[in-house]
Amino acid sequence: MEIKAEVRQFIAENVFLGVHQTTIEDTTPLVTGGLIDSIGMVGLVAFLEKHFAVEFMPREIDAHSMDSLERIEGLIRKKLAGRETAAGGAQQIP
Amino acid sequence: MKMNVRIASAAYAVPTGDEAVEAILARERDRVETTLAPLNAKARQKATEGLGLSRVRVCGSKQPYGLVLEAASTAIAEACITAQDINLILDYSTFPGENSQHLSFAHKLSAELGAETSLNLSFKTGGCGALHLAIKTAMGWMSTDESIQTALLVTGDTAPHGNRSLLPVTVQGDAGSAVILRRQGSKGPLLLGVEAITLSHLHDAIALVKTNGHLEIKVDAVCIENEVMPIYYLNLLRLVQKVLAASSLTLNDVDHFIYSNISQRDRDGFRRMVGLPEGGLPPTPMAEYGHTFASDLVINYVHMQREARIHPGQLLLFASAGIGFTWGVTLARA
Repeated sequence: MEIKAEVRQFIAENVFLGVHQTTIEDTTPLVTGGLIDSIGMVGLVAFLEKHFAVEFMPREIDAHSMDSLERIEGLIRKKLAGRETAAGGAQQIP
Repeated sequence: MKMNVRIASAAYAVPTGDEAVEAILARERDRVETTLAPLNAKARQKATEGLGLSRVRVCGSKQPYGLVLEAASTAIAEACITAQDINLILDYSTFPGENSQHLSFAHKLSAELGAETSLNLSFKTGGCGALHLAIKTAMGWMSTDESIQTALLVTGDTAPHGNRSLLPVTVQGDAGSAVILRRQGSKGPLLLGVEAITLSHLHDAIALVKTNGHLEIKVDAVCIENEVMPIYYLNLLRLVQKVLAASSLTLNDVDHFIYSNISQRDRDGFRRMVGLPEGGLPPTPMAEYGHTFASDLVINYVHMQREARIHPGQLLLFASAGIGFTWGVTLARA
């Protein structure tokens, strides 16, 4: 699952309008850099929850946890791993 | 929500004196600069832009209790009841005044209004979100005690001396307000649902501390910027969706969004969140009153009533968030 690529595409198309995907690097500061505002966050979290079938608790979301594609990927992978563990599966996440 | 509880009336009172926001920010410049110092240049600039507040009302001889008494008296008259009909008084003031000597406004109010047998309670939940918790608390009492038919909810707030700026969020004005809820009544909007959440790890985002014997509001601008704002509208929207879904309704069903007067930029954010076009939220007197914590929603509701914007059958959604950090949403059918 290419998490960063999918999130990058969503941000370029829906949140960070008018900017080509390639300009959003893995470490580009999205929130602290002012690229995603608090309304943009609503759309981003809704996408992540729906697309990756995860659910975020309010405490999990702040400027740091969602500040780059790298961090978002880490958060999603952690969520997915937790789900696998809870389901008793031993599948490796690519 | 199985009970039939209505907003029988609502009223507010503001002091006659006022002060320009520009003058307040000039007077509190040191405090403002200290608060905003940890932010980057862009965030500092943003903090003072788009406030949409020009003046605030300021308590003089009439302190918050006097404003609450005035608002409560008006609300009682408009609900066509007497004080003796009131079974529960809830005071949810955030900043009742540094010199407030009362155990709570509720007790003194009960005595002065003549609601002698009312149950009188006071709680602090913080700022703008408190109205929803007061409504939920009153409904909780009503659901467990048949004798509680009528509740009076009040808040009266004044900024501690020298602490009107809550930048990067808002500038505080003084006000008092009252809401009367009636069970099995026929007057006023019917409450359909109330949802609220508090995230206590954000309790210090805006905190009340005592420095050299005086109350002071400490705003943690970095916490507001990095921890509150990323989830601010997200939490509001989740509550909005939850309260609507519980009544099998959607955002499209809402006729009027009644939102707080924190700033014009915040109202624009809320408007975008619910998908309204520019100018989609009703006008409010925020420019002249400032942000008055939980009285904002009452003020805006009363103004909409006065302007005959609310018609029978329309769906009203009240939403706000504030100190605590607390988010709340109330849904009602006019």
